[in-house]
Amino acid sequence: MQSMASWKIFINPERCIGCHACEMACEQTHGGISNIKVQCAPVFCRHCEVPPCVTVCYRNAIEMRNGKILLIKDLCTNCGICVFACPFGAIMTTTITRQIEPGKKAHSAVPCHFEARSAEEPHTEHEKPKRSLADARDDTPRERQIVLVHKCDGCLERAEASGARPACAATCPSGAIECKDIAQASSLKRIRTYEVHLVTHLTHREGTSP
Amino acid sequence: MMVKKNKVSVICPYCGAGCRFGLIVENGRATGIDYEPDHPVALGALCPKGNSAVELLNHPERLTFPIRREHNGTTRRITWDEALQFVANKLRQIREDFGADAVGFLASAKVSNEENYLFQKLARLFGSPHVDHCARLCHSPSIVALSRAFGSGAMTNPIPDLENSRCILIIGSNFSENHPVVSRWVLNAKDRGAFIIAVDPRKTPTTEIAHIHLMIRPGTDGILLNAIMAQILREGLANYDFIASRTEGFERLKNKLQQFDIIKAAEQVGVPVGDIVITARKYATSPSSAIIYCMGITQHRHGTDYAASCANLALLCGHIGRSGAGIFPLRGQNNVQGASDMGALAEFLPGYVRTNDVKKRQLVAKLWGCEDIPSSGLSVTEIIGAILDGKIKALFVMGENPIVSDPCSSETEKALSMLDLLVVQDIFMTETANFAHVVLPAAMWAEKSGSYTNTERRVQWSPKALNPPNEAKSDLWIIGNLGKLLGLWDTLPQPEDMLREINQVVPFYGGITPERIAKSKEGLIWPCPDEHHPGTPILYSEKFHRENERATFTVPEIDFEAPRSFEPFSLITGRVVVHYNSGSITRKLPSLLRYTPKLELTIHPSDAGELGIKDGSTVLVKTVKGTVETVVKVSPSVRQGSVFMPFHFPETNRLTPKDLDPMARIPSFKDAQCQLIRKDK
Amino acid sequence: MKGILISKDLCIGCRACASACEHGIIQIEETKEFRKIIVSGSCPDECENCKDVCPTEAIKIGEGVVSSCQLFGAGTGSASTCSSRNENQLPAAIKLRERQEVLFRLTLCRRCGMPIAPEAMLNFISRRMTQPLFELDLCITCRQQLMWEAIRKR
Repeated sequence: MQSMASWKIFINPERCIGCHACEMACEQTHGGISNIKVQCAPVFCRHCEVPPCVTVCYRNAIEMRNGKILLIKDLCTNCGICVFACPFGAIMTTTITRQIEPGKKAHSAVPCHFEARSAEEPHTEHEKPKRSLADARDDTPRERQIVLVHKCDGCLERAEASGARPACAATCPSGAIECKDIAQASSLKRIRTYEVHLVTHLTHREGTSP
Repeated sequence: MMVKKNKVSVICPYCGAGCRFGLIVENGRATGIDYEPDHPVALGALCPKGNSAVELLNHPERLTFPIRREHNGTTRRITWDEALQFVANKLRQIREDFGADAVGFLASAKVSNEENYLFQKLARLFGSPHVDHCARLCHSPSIVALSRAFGSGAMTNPIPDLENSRCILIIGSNFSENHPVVSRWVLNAKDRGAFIIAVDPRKTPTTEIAHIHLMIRPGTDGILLNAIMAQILREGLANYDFIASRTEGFERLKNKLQQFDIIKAAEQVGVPVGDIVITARKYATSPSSAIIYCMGITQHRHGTDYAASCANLALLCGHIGRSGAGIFPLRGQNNVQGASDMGALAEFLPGYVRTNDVKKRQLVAKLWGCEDIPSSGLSVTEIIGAILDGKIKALFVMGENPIVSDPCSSETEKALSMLDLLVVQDIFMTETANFAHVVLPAAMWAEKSGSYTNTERRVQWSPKALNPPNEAKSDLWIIGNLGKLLGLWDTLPQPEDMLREINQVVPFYGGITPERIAKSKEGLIWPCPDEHHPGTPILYSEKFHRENERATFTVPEIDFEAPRSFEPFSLITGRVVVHYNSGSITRKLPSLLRYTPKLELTIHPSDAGELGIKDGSTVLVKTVKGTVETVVKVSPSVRQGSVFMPFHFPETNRLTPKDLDPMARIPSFKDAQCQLIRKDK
Repeated sequence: MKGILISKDLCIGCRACASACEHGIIQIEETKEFRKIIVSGSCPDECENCKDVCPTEAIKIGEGVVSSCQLFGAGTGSASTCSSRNENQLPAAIKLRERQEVLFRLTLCRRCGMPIAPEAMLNFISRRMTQPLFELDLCITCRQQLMWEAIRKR
């Protein structure tokens, strides 16, 4: 792909056959958790030009890079606010089990998201746990369940590393998910434009067309 | 420690689409999948089943050592030497006491061509005529009907060629669930303006693609096809040039069709007569039309007639032998086409030499270095019948699960319990393996090299990517060693050697050498008679494969005037996208099972209302063959008076009928009728 | 030991504090109708994760808890405690809080009736949006289902 920023993942719902291959491919590429949910067609982040999730995130944990909207795991508090800000329901939650890390520090809150963040801002350093798990008493829980907030990252890492297409587009048997240069995708642009329209104008209401 | 990471390009082990993908292997273990866009059929795509490949290869319940089961049911681990000696001795003993024809051999639609070839060779050199496999249960009508009509029984055009069709008639196929990658090409055709017609008693993701869906009464496919042909004749839309120059036998069919009452037919079929007229006109007048069909056509008492009617329709309009025009019987398994080509069928030797054609048979015998080869044997379900009659005493089952796949499971169970020897060679302890005296652990597809023939007649090489676990061995190794012990040959062949022998014995595989296909991503499509031949993607462009090079129309045997009625409910069995055939693989894979974790019977809302049941209710389903319990799903995707059950679960085939189509000997799975009894809480 | 106090007025019932708590002090209990944020005791550690991640600065941590009024300003808590002196004094009458529960009623989806999120949380989102979001009263599953239906209709 020529320029990372110029390609988008298009979904053509007319072609979806409901096979769930995209969910499986996404899950295998993202540590066992899928960022796609197939309803009557696959639903996942539309990487909007004017993203409501970025607007509401009080931690600046969602950023745009190379035309993709990325949730920064180290900054995310799993509060779930962005989940309800997405009109598409594309930000998802999954209950996972995590090791308890008693000394782990959360990043300080950044109240106003218009504050500039420097490019070199380091990731959160984790302090060593004050007690090692081996020393813990037997009845101390070592794991806990949290509700993880996650969403499609456009397989940007895959693309930046090897030029590979997003896993969902690569696997879709019917061609319902395609990764295309915006300039080249004329009929798909119509669907894409409507998605953008949905987000920027937000005049969509169930049962009526804008 | 350096991680040794490798990527090997393998062919998918599931359906007959024959997709290719990269398997990532790290330190001898499968860890990931890489999509390979430069493959013609799928363009790198992979359906959910293909995506489960890594989970499958690493499954903890793999059979990894030979097992002996005693009469009291206890099992113990044994060595390969013990296992093979035991099997060889017992087979020899049974041959001595009862004759070689007291032994049956079930080949596999999933192993490589080399393995199936060696397996049927073992059976026949041993002296048994009874070699068959599960193609009997699915496309045997296609092999019989299309061979008769055209000279070859296979699909005529490659899958991507579908995008060149201007009209596609889909009848009895749910490819969106069972051959998902076919959907892309049909949708491409649709985008280009093709008219898509779907015929199915159910609404499926496939029928959603179509412009019109003829939701026919179950079992009326033959009436419909003939009504369409009758209408084409009536409107003068037949391709008389084609009929005159390339076919024979038209007059007989024409006379029969001229008497066809299309209005009455529409009533019997249960669709508006206008839909039949539209279908007829669109199919006949489009520049190139295709017919896609599958189990909805074949798994009937008259499956061969229905398949023959599809052939008639194509010939009537000359829609065969060129791009976008052809017949697409979608073969189900990754190598069922190959298993058929290799002669793992009761009436065929490799290359479709008829076992009852003495002259040709003896030519094959000569190549094998023996006097003669046994004549025709019993088919899969007839073998079960022969066991029950005490005529067959031993059964060797390779990569098949008849307890779940065959109709009327209670009879299969009874038969297998009666055997003096049941050997099952498989990757998991399947429902059938639970009855076996000896269980032999086999390697999976990625753990051995071999060639596989997909539904397009495309022969592709799938190289070995990793070793089988523990003591599991490739089917070639097992059969090769067993043959040695039985004194049938001296050396253990490698896959490449086996393919070279196949090049000699099967003329249309003549040029499909290991050297050529091992370095080719897209393989070679047979017929490929010699090493310079590029293969033959589209069949019959110049001539048909019959002696006089013409195709023939066939007049159906049955009288279509009186369609069968199914009371109180027609029971339709079929598939769902995340499961595969007997479910022996997919029901063990959580990433697939979670989407369809249990058996559900689909019933129409009106019928549910009348029975007083709703979504999630439990019912008993009763047929003359048995009774099972299942949960219900209410949906208008089935007709009133019709219910649907997927056969990936062992309960379903407890219910299905064993009546065989007389020509292809396929059980009439889809001609079942059942009663539903509400199970009160 | 550090006491944790959540302001009932400022808290919006999200999950940030419970996710951040590595000591099992803050938990969330949820039914179809309610979400409860539970502070089950005091924090044994120096960690202030819960306070750091709170979107509305609704959490205060201190040696001993006094009144909401003293911590969060006038208008919260009872009048009598408001008259207490400066924040550093520990009035003997006020105990260290052992357990605190903040209860939220969950807004239900207008299409399927399943719970979405606490109303306070949805209001918070609404206030931060630059345009009205009509999907706020739809649960995530319904939004997913409606997304393609709307596009297909067009």
